[in-house]
Amino acid sequence: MNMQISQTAGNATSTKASPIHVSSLTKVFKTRTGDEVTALADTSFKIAGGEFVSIVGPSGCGKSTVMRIIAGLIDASKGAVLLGTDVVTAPSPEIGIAFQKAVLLPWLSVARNIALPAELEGRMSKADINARVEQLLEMVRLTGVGQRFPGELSGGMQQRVSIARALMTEPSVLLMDEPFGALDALTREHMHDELLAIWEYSHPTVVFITHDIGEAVYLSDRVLVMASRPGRVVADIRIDLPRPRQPNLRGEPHFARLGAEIRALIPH
Amino acid sequence: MAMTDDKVRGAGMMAVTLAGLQRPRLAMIAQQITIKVLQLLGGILAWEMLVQGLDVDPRIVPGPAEVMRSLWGLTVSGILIGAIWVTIQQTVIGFVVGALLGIVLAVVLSEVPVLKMILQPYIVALQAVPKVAVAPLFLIWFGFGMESKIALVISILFFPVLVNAMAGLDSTSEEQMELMKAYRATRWQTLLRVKVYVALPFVFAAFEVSLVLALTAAVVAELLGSGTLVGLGTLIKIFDARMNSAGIFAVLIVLSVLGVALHAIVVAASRHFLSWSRPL
Repeated sequence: MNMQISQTAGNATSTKASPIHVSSLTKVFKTRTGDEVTALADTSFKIAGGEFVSIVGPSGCGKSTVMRIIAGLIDASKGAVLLGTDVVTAPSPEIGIAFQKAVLLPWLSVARNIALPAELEGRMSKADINARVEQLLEMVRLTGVGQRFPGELSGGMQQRVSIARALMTEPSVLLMDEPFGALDALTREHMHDELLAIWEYSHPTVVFITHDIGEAVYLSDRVLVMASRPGRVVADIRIDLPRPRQPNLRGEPHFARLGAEIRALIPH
Repeated sequence: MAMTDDKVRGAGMMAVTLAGLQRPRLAMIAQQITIKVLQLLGGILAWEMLVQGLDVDPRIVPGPAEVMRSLWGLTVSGILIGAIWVTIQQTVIGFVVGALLGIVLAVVLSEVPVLKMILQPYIVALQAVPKVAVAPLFLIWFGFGMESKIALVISILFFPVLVNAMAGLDSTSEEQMELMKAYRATRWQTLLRVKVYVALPFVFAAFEVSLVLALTAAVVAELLGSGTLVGLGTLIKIFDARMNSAGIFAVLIVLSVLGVALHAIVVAASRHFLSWSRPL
C-alpha cells in the first residue's frame, strides 16, 4: 500500500501484473427465436503482463464478449482464458473493470462508490480504505469531491470515479469496455493522458475495448483488430510510438500511418 | 452633507443590501400566511352563509360555529385526545407491521423465484378481495379490541407494499447486477447494497398512497364494531346514534388534519431517505 502519485514513467516491465492467454475462444449465443449466433469463433491471443492492449472492431464483432469472458462474467462455449496460470471460471479478485457506462450507485457518496470493491471483499481495514480512496481521488483529479453524490457530477467526472473504483483493490489486470465512449472529444483526450499516467505508475495489464482507432493507437502497446460474423481477431498491430505519449503525437505522420493501417484492416 | 469616508459608505451600502435581501423574503412569508388565513376564513364564512341562507336543518348540516363548539367540548373533556390516541395507535402499529410484512415477503419472494411462482396466484386472489369485507371476520377472530382494527389496517396496507416492493426489487439494471457480479458480491451484499436501495422509491410511493388508506381502515374497523376503547371511528358512531351531526363534523375535521399530518411525515421521511434520487 505504499503508492505514490507520480507523473514519471514507471518500470515498463511489470513483475506482478498477470499475463492473459486467450486460447481458441468460441462463444455461441442463442437468440430468442432459437437461432444460434456465433459471437466469437476460435479466437486466440496473448497479452503480456503489464502490457496495454486495445481491441478495436466494428460493433457486433464480439469485442465486448471477449472482455466479458476474460472478466469471468460469462462462460465461453469453447476454449479458455488463462489469467497468469489460472483458468478463468468466475470474476477474479485480480481484475478491475470499468464499463461503458460509469454505473455508479447513486445512493452512495463518490468516496463510498470508489470503496465499493474493497468493502465487498471485506479484507481492508476502514482506515486503509479511506486512505486508498483519498489517494485514488487525487489520482483521477477529483480531490475534495469524495462526499458529493454521483448525481452532482458531470459525465466525465463520473467516468473518472468509475475508473478510480476499478483501481480500488490494486488489480493487476484492468479491463475497460469503451470507458470514454460517452465523453466529448476534449474530455476524452484529457482522460487518455490521465489513464496513461495511472498505467505508467502501477503498470497493470490493460485490455481496452474501443471503436475509436485514434484512441487505440494513442494508448496502446498493441492493437488487436477484430472482424464480425463470426467475431475473430484479424490483425495484431504493434504500436511502436515512444512513451510517455504526448498529446502532440496525434499530429505526427507515423501516428496517422498506424491509424490508416488499422482502419484499412477493419471491414466495412 | 456629503459622505466622504468610503468605509462608512461601504458599510452603509452593505446594510442596505442585507435589509433589502431580507425584506422581500419576510414579506413573502407574511403574504403566504395571510393568503392561507384568508382562505380558511373565507371557507368558513362561505359555509356559514350557505347554511344560514339555505336555512338547512342544523341536524343535517351544522354551521361552523356549532361544529367549533362541539370540537371545543370534545377537546376540554379530554375525549378527543383519547380517541385520537386510540386511532393513531391502530393506524401506526398496523402501518408498521403491514409494511414490514410486505417488505419481508417481497424480499423472500424475489430471492426465491420458485416460491413466488407458487404463491403468485394466491396473492393475486387475496389482493382482489375488498379488505373491508373481511373486517367482520377479523372481529370474530380478534375480538372488539384494538387487535381487529390493527388486523384490518395490516391487510389493507400489506398488498400495495408487497407489490411495489417486489417491483422495486426486480428493477435493478443489468449493469448494476453485472457490476456486483464483477466485484464478487454475495447474494446478501447485492440485496443489501443495491436491490434494497433500488426498491426504496417504490416502497415509499406505496407508503404515500396507503397511509391515508391505513387511517381509513382504522376508522372503518371502529365503525363496524368496537368495545370499550373509543377511537375516532367509535366517536362518529356514538354521534351518529344521537343524530349529532356537529359532533360528526368535528371528528371529520380532526381526521382530515390527522391524515394530512401523517402524509406530511411520510413525505418528509421519503425526502430524507431518497435525497440521492432527487433530480438536482
